Amino acid sequence: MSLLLEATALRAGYGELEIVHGVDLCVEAGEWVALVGVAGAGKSTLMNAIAGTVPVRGGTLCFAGTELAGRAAHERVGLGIALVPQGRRLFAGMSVEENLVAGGHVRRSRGAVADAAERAYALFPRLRERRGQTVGTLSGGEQQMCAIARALMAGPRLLLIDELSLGLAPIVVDDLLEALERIRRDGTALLVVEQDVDAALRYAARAYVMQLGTIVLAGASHEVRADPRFGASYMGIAG
Amino acid sequence: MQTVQAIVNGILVGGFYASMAMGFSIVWGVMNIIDLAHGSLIIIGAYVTYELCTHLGVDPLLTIPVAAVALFALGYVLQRYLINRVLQASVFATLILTFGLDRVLVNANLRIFSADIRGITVPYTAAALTIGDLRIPLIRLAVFCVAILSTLALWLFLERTRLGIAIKATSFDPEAARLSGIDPARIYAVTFGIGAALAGIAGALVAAVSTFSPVIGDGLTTRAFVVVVLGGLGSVPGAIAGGMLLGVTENLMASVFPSFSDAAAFALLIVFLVARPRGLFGRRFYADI
Amino acid sequence: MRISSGSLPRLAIVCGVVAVALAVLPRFTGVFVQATLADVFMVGTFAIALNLIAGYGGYPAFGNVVFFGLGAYATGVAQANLHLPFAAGCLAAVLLSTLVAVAVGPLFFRLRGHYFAIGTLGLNGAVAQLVTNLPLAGGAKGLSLPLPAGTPGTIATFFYEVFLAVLVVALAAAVWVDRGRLGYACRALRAGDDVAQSLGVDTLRTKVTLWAVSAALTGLIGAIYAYSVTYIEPPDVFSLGLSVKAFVIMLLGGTASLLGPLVAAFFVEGAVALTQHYFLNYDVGVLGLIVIAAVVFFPRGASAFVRDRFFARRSGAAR
Repeated sequence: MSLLLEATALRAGYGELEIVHGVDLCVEAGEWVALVGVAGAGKSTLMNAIAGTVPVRGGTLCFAGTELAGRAAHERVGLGIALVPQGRRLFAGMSVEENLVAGGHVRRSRGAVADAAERAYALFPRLRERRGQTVGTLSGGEQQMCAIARALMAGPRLLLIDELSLGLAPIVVDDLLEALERIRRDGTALLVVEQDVDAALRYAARAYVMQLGTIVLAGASHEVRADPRFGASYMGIAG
Repeated sequence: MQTVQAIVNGILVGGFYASMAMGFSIVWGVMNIIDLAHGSLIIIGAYVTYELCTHLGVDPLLTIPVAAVALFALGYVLQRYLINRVLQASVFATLILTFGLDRVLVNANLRIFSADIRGITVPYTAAALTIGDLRIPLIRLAVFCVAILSTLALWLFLERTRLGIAIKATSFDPEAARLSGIDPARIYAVTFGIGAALAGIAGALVAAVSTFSPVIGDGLTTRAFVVVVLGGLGSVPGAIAGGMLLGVTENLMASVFPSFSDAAAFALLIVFLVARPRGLFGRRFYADI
Repeated sequence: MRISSGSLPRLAIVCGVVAVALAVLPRFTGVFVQATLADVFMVGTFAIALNLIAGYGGYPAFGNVVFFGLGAYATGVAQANLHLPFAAGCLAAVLLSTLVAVAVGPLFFRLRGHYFAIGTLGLNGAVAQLVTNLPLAGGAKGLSLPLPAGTPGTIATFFYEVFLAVLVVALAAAVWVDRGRLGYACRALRAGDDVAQSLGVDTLRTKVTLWAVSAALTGLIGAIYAYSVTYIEPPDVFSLGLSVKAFVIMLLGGTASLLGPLVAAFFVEGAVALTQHYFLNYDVGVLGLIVIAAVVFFPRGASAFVRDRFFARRSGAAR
């Protein structure tokens, strides 16, 4: 396996406020990694720093051997990093199809966009049925599918998902997790932020636990789950 | 009969208003910029056509692509290197910036092209279609068709092309657009370029059918604004309907109270702003109401 | 946006010194300097009045110049047609401007942002055309007012003093708005109409009051301007250029300081005089460039720029 994403002593934040204080994290090619922690632990800020919408203030951030510092978010999409942002942020007044076309902006040709859309529809047949509908009319689960499909349109090597299951029914989450596992088997690495621990660790090979802007626990998923500190950290109870 | 002629004239000029307003509308809708220099950009387009016609003897309708391309380039550069710098600032900042830009363009036009009132005569200026007492000059009909076609072309571009969809996406959510690999700075420059290109087309049409000078730009900007408010921000059918509503209102007013046609336009504007701020076909775009 | 020039007594002393200095200045200067300074006071007052509705109220009244034009024509008609004295003309100007603001306010405050800005622009355009077509007001030919009595020197001093007095009134009004109940209501308004209402603020009334004060001041300087130039025509007194100049002064001077707009007005009017003197055929364009430079370099105001540059550590968390 080769190292895809590597963050060392990464610091990030908004304006004067530093939220992520020196995080070491890596993702190997084709690997599923979970990132868990209580609300406000800095997970979203870390994800946005990797995607490029939050400035990095220190440390290094490398993707497939390329230093990401100084590269704008839209350039990182071209390199192979795609983020499904928290709250999904679909283009609300546009149809499912148009959202996917927008997601495929970095593709070279119209044909390449059509092929990518075809693969996305194969993964989420529900979206094909609703391709002409405005995304505002979709259910929560369908919107999340659309957001994932939009991110996949760029053909990423690393897919970042910020809050997969927020507000979704468990059965919908199961479907989404299975779809993600298929995406991973097709060769895309995943870094997934998830509130629901069971869902987060079900498929993930490794997991990071974040607290107050630092990584407090890391390792294989089953080890992390078995660690006595996991419950304490995850529940946010000190000592 | 006079009324019917006024309505027909209004519809004809309304087509021109639609194409003029569409460029203004896309810039406003996508970037939340009220481009007070839009009228001056139209005038520059009119001079491109005028110079080509008088010096090279080209038919005004054939100069349209030249005006469009020249203005696209100007608009792209203005947005990329000037207006993008203040997009994050307040609504005032862009409003005042484009006003300053307008002053510079007006002054430049005055120095380069003089304050003289210009116009073009083509061999078929006098040719007209007559139905009973109704008279429709052919050149005005041609201008109407070009205006409507260019407006529809923009609509097709926004709906059917990848770039058009990227522009719409950026207008809905610039940050989500960045996460989709779209560079908003470039999209904004292209959008302003398209707005300016439409201004260039409108300018070529102004030159083809009427007289102009550097100082009439302000009135054109105001009319573009009125049409957008009437039709609804970002809406192509709205621009066409709004353009015709304004054109007909102005022409009817002019046939009854010749000196109050501007006031009629403003009155229409204020009624719509207050009673129906989304316009006839308004959709949610970017601006707040 | 709160006026923050230290304690009130110190502020009063500073203002008093400046006012006395300006009041005795005409004894030592000629007509040109007085006329230029009178212009600075006029534009400064316009900016302060605009700041009330645009800065405090958050409503970009781009067409606020409509009150300037109304004031000019109110006094014009009162003096030229009805042969009333100047003071009565000023009173008519203030009343008419206030009345219009109160009448259209409830309608216009249903709009926000660009829509409000352009709504006021439309109001200005419509009023300008109505005035142009009003036979009483001289129509497009313009309107001549009676000439003020006196020598050029005494006339210049007279208008210098009148504009200075109005400027002081405008500053007092700004302080009154800032420190009084209206200022509290404005700060609540900026947190949103809902918040303000939950605090017991009558939002519409607050906005209309602000605009009425702004309109009264603007109408007053319009009246004085009309009398000082003795000849007015619609394109001159309903000129958007004046509104824009005032916005630029607001940007440069900042909305948070009392004397900032005055200093900015001084620089802008100075720049105008210089460009008209040295770049006769390019003055419009040069002014446009100044406007562009002001916005590009100080998009949030010159005072904010200075604060961010030099006091970033202290004020960083405030925004």
